Amino acid sequence: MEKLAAQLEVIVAAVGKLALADTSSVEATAQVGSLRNVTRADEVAPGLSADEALANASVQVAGFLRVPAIQ
Amino acid sequence: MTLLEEPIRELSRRLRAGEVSAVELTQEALARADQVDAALGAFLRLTPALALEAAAAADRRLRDDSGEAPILCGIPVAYKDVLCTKGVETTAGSQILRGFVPPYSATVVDRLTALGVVPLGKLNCDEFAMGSSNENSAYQVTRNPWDPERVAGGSSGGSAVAVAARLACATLGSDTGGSIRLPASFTGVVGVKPTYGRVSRYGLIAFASSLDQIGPLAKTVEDAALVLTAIAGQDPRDSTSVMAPVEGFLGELRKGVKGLRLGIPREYLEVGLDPGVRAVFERSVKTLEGTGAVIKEVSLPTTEYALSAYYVIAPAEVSSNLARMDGVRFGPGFPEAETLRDAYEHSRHDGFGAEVRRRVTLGTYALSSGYYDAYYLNAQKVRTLVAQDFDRAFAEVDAIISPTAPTAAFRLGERTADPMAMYATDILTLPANLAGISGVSVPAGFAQGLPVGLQVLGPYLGEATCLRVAQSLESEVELWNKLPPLALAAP
Repeated sequence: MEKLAAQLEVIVAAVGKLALADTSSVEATAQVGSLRNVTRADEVAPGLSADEALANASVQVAGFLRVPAIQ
Repeated sequence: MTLLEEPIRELSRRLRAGEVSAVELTQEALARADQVDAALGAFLRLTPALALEAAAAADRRLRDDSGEAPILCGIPVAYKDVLCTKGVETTAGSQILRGFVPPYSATVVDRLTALGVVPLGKLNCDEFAMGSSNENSAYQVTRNPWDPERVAGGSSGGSAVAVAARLACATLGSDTGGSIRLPASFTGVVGVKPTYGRVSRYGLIAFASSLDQIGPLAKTVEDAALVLTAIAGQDPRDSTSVMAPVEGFLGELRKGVKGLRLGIPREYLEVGLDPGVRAVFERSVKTLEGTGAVIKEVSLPTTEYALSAYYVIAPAEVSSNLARMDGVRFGPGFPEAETLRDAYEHSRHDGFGAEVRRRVTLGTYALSSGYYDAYYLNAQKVRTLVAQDFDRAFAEVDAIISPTAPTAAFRLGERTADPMAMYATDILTLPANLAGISGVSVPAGFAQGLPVGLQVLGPYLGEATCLRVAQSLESEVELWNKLPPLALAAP
C-alpha cells in the first residue's frame, strides 16, 4: 500500500504537466472518428440463454446469481 | 525449416495443391509449440482438439472446393487472451478471470473461423492489456526469442512472439497505446493498429474503450494485410465500428512509394532515442527516399503532453470498465464472504495485480470531484490538440514515419520498479491511439542484435497507405525471413 501510494504520487506529479498545456481555445474530445447516433436495426434476434449467461457465476441458485447480503 | 516459415499465400498454395494438409500443418504447429514455447511462454493455453477439428474441416473444404476456399482456410492462427473464444477459457492475463469460459466469441474470431482458420490457442498478455513488457501477466512472463533475458514488449507480447518464433502464421492482438506495434518492433514482426472503428471490438475484454483497437501481427506485410482484410468492416454488434469500404489493403500494397510524401515528426526524434535505434531509422529513411518517397519534416508540437494525457484518459476508462470485475458474474469470486462488500474487496484484492490496481486507483482519482477538471477534462482537451497536430501534418504528407519505440527490447525487470519509465516506452505509439488514426510497425533493422521497427502512421482510415509504405521497406530490407535463435532450436 505504501509502495502504491509512493508510485501514485510520482505518476500524479508527472501527469500534472498537463496544466502547462495551453488548452484555452479547444474543446475536449468526446470521441474520435466520424460516427454520430449509431443505432442498429430493431429486430428480434436470439441472445444468450439464462443458463449460458449464468454459467460463469461463482454462485448461482435456481437461475439467479447469489451474493452475500448488503450490510 | 518449418512450414510455418512460409508466407500465407505460399502456404495456401501448398494446401490447395495437396502438397501438405491442414492437419499436417496443424500437427507441426502444435509440436513446435510443445518444444519451443516452454522457453518463451507465448501461449497461455493450446487448444489441440479444436485446432485439429478445424484443420480436418479445412482439409474437407480445400478438397471439395479448392477454387472457392478462402486464402486463410487451413492457416494456423492464435488469439490474444483478451479476445473471447466460445468454450475456451479467456482470462485477459488476470487472476480475476481465472476459469472464465465465454459463452460467445469475439466478432473477429467468428469472422476468421468462418474463413476456415485453425485456432491453436490463447496468447499471453499483460493483465487486461495493461503494460509494455508482458511482465504484468498474472500467469507467466513471455520472453523475447531474440534474447530470452529481454522482454517481448507488451501488451500483445504472446501474439508477437508466437509469430516471431514461427509458432503461428498470424495472430491477433489489441493496441490501446502501442500494444501491437511495440511488441512487433521488439520481436521483429509486422503489427497493425487499425483506425479506431475499423475492426469490431465485440468480444474484446475492454481496457480503455475510446482507445482500444484489435489488429493483426504477422511475418510479412502482406500476411498482415490478408488478416486485416478478413477482420475489418462494420459490425452491428459494435456501435463504434465504422461503415467504410474494406479495400486497397492488398491491391495497393505493391504500388511502391514513388512520389509519396513521408513526414518525420521533429518531436519524435527528441525523446531520447537509443543511438542504435536512431541509426536504423536513418537508414530506413534513406532506403525509402531511395525508392522515390519524398521526405519532409513535420511538427507534432503536442507530443510532450501526449503521454500525460494518455495516462489520465486510459486509467480513467480502466476504473470504469473494470468495475464489472466484481467476482459475481464471472471469475472465481469469493463465495465465503459474509457481506457483499467483503466479497467485492476480496475478489478484487486477490484478483488484480499491481499494475491494474495502480491504474484503477489513478483513474478513480482523476475522475473524482475536485480533480476532474485538472486531470480528466484537461487531458481530453490535450487529446484534441494531439488530433489537430495530426490533421495539420496529414495536410502536408501522406504518412508519418518514426521509430516504433525509443529503444529495442529492454531487459526483464529493468522497468518494473519504475512505472513512469515503463509508461514512457509508449511515447511514440500512444499519440496515434489518442487521435484514433492508423499505424503499422514493420521490421527495419537490428540494434545490437535486437530487432527495431519502423512505425508508419496514416490518417483516419489510412491503413492502405501505411501498409504500402511498410511493404516498400520490407521489400528493400528483406528481414521478414530472418529467424530468431530460439525459433531455430526445433523441428
